[in-house]
Amino acid sequence: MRLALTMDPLQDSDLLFAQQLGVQQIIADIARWDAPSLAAARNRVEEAGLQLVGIESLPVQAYVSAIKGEQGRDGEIAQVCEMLRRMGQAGISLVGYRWAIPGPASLPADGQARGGASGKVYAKGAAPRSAETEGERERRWQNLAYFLQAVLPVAEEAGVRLAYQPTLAAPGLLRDGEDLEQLFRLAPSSFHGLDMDHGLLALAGEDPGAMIRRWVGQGRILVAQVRSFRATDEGYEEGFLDEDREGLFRALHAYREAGFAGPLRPAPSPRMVGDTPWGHKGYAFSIGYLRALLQAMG
Amino acid sequence: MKIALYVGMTEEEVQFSRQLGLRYVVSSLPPNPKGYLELDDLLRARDFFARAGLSFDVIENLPVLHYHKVMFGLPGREEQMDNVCTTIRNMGIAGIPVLQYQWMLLGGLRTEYSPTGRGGARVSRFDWEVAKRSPLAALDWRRSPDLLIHAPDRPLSSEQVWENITYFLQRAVPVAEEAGVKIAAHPDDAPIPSFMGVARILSSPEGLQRLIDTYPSPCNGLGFCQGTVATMAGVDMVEQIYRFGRQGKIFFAHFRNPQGAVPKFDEVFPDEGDTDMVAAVRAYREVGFDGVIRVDHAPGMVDDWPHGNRTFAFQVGYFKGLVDALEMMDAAAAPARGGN
Repeated sequence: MRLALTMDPLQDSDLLFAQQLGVQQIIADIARWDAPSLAAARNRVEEAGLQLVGIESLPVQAYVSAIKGEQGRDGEIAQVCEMLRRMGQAGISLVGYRWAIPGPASLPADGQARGGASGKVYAKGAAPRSAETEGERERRWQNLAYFLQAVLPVAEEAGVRLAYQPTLAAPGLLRDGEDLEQLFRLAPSSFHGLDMDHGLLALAGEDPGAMIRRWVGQGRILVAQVRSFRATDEGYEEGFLDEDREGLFRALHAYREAGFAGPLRPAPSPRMVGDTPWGHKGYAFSIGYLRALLQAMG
Repeated sequence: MKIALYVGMTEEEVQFSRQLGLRYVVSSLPPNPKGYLELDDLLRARDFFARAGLSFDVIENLPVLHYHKVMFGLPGREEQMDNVCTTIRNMGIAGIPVLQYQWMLLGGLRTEYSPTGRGGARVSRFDWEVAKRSPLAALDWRRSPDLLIHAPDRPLSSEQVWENITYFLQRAVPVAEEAGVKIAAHPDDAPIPSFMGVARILSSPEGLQRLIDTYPSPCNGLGFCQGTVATMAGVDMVEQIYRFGRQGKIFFAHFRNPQGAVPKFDEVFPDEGDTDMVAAVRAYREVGFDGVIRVDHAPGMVDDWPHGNRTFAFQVGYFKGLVDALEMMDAAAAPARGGN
């Protein structure tokens, strides 16, 4: 398990920042997918003496029709396959993807986190298995199966692993343990897995520790993401990592026990006073906190 | 253990502390021309922090200009001691329980601040050889002309300096006892036995013990600067936490983890220094230390803010993580107390 930061790697000062925090692995948040941009991202990270482990996620806009199962999806899928091939050529071997169309109704609201930091609050309506009919659910799975059947062979050939990213930011998602198991059955390729978020699974009423142990053993967890949620009357508030220290500690313990060797990345913290848009202060805090928990576990 | 940052009286700084989840602050007041810290100023500071939900528990430090004649044993020291006693009484009234002071006649010593740390972070260094070659460059108070006048022409032996601090303790400690204020001595950083002919008496565990024994009192103890103790040659810092912590003499502490020790050390990030910090935090827990521990200086990071928010956020996260981890591990290891 190695600490990783998600950033736009074209900022040299941010790569230095990562190194100063003792972080060796970078997950790139990029906007351009042409071959030179991908190569530049990788070169920049490696020239700084760090490792580019993957790209944060495929842009959902590139496969909206595929999610909806609408006409035009084959063109989109061809486009996604091309992105994967370019990644492979650039030697970048991991990318996240989502299966939800974020809309205005599902975006988080601004909330007050600790000490007046600005955090995100997700409406409870966005909780697992909300208002979704059987038919919708079935179609969602069919669309996903169609997508993965087309995309995964290309990913395998390109040497790129796809990590499904559960998210609270949109309704009607596959997010709880049962859904994720179904997803693994649907696409049993070793190039397909999960960007694991123990906090989300805990909100879904699951025991993240048991899932981490099982899925790490099966090679399903490609990335581990950590964040802290608190349930309030209004919804789910994202907080600082130490605010759910028990949940985090149990999750890290499970990763450690199961021998997880992938990247461990903190989600953004609530925005701290005077911080940059990316959140340097918040990330510095999170990395320090995680480093200490891992050291203390021995 | 009460984790704190050194915080100035600005809204942004107190907010930063609160967002990091801190409840305590360490702060100071500027030297007062009257020679003592006035009650109104102390109350204003205390209330300012209290409104933000932060408890102002430690003054770091007693302004040197309020007692430098005592340090050097110069005429006028009686009057300065009267004023120091007034400061202590005012702190007692204001309910600020700990006053840290230091006995570095020539101040703190460093010889370099260069981008030699992890990822090119700026690291401060002490190298005794360099300090011997260019002593004036190693003095960090050199901007203070009031003190410079005492420097090179006034050698002071260890016994002379002990006499001076003994006078200080004899006057200050009884007042501290009455006022309910603990006075905490910071060790000499860098911990070398003398510099430019002036003794540095609090540069070894024996020196710290002698300070405690010079005037035994529940109000006479240490500002246990971990980094300074860790850089004392041949000293196991964690052992010193047990030694002084078990005597109840750690009134306040600094969290820092350097690499190396006298004659040469670097102030690196706390997760890469020589001390096993997990063992250090365990030691504080085992001796029952319940005072304030302040996150200390750390390397300068790229594009950081004037108050070092990046480097301090990292340090607070790291320190909190150690404390939280040990609390949770101990709770998990505790025998279950179920049933009746």
